[in-house]
Amino acid sequence: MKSPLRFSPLVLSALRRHRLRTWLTILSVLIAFLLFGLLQAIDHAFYGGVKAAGRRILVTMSAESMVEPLPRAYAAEITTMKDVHHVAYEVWMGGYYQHHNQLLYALAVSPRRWLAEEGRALILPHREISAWLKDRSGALVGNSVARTYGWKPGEIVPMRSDIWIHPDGRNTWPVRIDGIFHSTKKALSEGFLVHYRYWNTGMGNPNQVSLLRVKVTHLRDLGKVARAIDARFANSPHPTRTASAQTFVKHFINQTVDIGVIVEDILAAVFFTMLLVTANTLTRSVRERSGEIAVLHTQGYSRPLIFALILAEALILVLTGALAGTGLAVLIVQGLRSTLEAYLPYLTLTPRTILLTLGLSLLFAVLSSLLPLLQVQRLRTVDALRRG
Amino acid sequence: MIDSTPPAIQIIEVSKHYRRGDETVQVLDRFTLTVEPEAFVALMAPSGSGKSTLLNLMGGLDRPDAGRIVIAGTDLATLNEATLTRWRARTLGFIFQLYYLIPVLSAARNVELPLLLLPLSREERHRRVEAALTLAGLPPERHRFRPTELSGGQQQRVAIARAIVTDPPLLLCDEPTGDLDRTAGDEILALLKTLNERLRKTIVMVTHDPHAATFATRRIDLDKGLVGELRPAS
Amino acid sequence: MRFLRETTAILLIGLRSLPRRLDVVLVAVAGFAGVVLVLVAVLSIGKGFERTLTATGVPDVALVLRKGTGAELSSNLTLDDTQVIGGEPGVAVGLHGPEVSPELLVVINRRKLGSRGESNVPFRGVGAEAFRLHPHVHLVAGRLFHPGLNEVIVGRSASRTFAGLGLGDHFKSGHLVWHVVGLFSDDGGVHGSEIWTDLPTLEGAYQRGDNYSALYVRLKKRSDYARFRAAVEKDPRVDVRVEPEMRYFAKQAEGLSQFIDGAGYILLVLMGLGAIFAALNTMYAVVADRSREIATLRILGYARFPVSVAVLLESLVFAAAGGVVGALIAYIGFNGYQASTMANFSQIVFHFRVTPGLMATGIADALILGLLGGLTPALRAARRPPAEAVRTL
Repeated sequence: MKSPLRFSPLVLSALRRHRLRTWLTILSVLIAFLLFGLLQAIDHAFYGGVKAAGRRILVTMSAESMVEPLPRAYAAEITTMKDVHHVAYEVWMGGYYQHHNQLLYALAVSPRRWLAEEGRALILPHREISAWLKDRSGALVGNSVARTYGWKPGEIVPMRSDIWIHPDGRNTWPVRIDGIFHSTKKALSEGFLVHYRYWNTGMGNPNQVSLLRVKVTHLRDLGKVARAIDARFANSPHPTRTASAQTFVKHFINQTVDIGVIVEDILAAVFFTMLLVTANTLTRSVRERSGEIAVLHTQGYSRPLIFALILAEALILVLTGALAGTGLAVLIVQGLRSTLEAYLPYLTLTPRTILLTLGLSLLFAVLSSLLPLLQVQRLRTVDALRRG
Repeated sequence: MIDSTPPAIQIIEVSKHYRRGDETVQVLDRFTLTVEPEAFVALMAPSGSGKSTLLNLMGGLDRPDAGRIVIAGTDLATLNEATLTRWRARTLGFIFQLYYLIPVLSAARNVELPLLLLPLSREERHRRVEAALTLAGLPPERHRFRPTELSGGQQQRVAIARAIVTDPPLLLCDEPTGDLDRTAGDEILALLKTLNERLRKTIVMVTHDPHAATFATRRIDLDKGLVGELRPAS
Repeated sequence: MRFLRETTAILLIGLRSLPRRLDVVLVAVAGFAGVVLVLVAVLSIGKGFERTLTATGVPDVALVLRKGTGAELSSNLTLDDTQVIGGEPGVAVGLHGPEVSPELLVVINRRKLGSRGESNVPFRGVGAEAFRLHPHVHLVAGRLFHPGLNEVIVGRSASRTFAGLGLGDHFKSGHLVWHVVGLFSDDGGVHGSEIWTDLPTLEGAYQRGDNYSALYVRLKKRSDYARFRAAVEKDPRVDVRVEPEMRYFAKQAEGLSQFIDGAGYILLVLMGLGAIFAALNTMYAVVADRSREIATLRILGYARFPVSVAVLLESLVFAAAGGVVGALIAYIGFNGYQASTMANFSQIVFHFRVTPGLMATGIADALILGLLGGLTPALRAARRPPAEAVRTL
């Protein structure tokens, strides 16, 4: 059998020549991929919500700014438009519990419209749903937020609002917890939903909404419907700006900080440095062995075979480091997840990231063995033998 | 010669072994040797017989398993690592087959290296370096050359100048002509002979070349294992 | 003396032989430079943001918001509120009455230059008093807006960051078209990210009647703050909260600064480990390359300790070189780099600040890494018996 594995003692002995150097190089690669894994997880934590936002959903807001309200009547009007499947609306409550840093992702919604769209993703007793539908000042909350503050069904919670004054003149909105739900959608587990009617009653400027969520019938009509909505209200007192929910989430995050750019820059610097380190290790190893390589050459080893042996050495160095680094990143992310879930529900390493890591490490191995390969190319057997 | 002068080198019942893998190699076994002051001794031995080990022991670079080594009245066992290092700088000059010059430094800078350890002014160092190089026979215009720009014989002259620049009484040479052709080798051997005769340096030279040994005043043949008989040079 | 001479001699030989092993050395230097570059660049974000927010405001001005609101944008005060507060004790009184500035803050969508997404740019309506209450704000180009003409002046940072806000530009928001007639600076403060116009014009455009977001109040003396605050909070006619202006803005920087410092130090630890591994590799290689030199010197009578010190110093030289290179690249590449982020639903433009202190921190960190990476190789260099080193050559 002519298995390529018969060369493995040769490759392993090359790596064992300087054990310390081999380990240090593997550790450098490990660190690079650990960083890569962690930064990918963070990136996903920020942008995971983009993917989670429904693909057939459009978000319509005021063209002036995202804090400017729109008339609720727009919902009915958009519902009648072609290719529109469903329209929901919400008011951002600007809610918090006791202190400003205890933010509640509280939305005032039309319960039936909202449940029609999200109901399937919820897990809770049916009686809790019916209780909420009947209770104008009731709330349905996600299990994660309920656990954070220790709320039980039936409890009355004083939700405060940064934006809206309760009809009694204070900024506290008493809300009864009617139901606590688990959800297959991560973002919903932080949800805090109250009745639009509760908010609307007693507002000086009623029948307004923060934004509309428009579901289109077919994905292919997304752009068309968005343009049609904006065109329809262009000359009204409240012109709109409509974008896909995914775009909306992405732009919103980008406004806070363009994480992607920073992550990419840092990774580029880290990888470039580590690439240098690995390439240098291989180059030195090849230089020290130039005599041996010349001998192999005289024994009938072709250049391509010698290249393959060096590449195998690089692959072992890089793959060991990359797998260990990624494994460590997975462990760390899993460990952090339970503590950070409330803030970063999408903090995770996806299988896609792990595949990406593998691909990247292959590329890394090839790049780092380019220099030593060049060295072998230039090596003249006669000189090497004399030196060796 | 006055009898009260202690011998330059006394090696008394010295044993030394090495581990090579799982194997223990007994290089020296109760070996005894005395070298008188101002002698020029050629130690003849085939390769691998442990002559470099012997030279390293004399130079205090290595310690014996048993026995005593006394150089010019100093028992090396009484010196610790730090005092041994200083003692070496004062007492010994080493000359190697492969010169061991530092390639990035000029000939003069190489020779200056041991002088940096002494409290000397720059001018004094310069004077001594020039004197040593001249004595060693390196043409003055080459004093600023780097080792790679010199021939093998010239490099060995630089190494010799480095060995004598601090004026040590004892020179230890390990195959000093091993890497040179016959003509250059003879010049180096003649230089060593001059150093022995004019400057009264005690010289111990390890070699496997019988021709080289003819320059010495005494020849000692060390056969396998170095055990036993020492025949005085004829 | 002798120790110094020995160490210097060994170090100089090492440095002289650098060109011969340039590849190894460059890798080490690049490793250190990479760490310092990333660290300094990341920390300069926090420094820049903090600077913008702490440069905002003056010590003797207090900010009044509706109780329960965290920010100007969500706060709402009435004309009555402002009049009551203007009469409270501690408020400075000038020729035209109490020195207070009622202001209305909204945000409008503007495209950020170089991106496709829209950003919330703060749009502030102010009266003439505002320029006395915000003494850092001054015109740098054009002229002031005329009341009632839909004219605006734009902060220099906003003008450079968002589309359509240059001097002389017209931009549309809702149904109104606004004309940029002047540019102003806030001396590096937050207002430089804003658009300013005449208060009644903005109230009219947004149908806000006589409603404001916030009231800025000049105190007679800085020490009158406690008295003023106590009086306002006890006053049953108003339901508001009071905060020193500078603290209000400084507080907004805290979250991001802490996040960046935390992230920066985690990065430092991880990348630092990587750099130490690289440095160890390099220095072991250096020691291996120089083993003949070192053995020769030891045989010539050079002691152990200077050998160690010289190797360690060499590692520190690489670290320092890498640190300086990294810090300089960070300075050239990122100092003054303009970025913006969102706080309280409005954009704040700031500039990365690569301060000398930050650069020194980066270089110091590189030196620590160099020390850690050079220590064991230095010890190995000295511990190896010269006889063995010579034998294996």
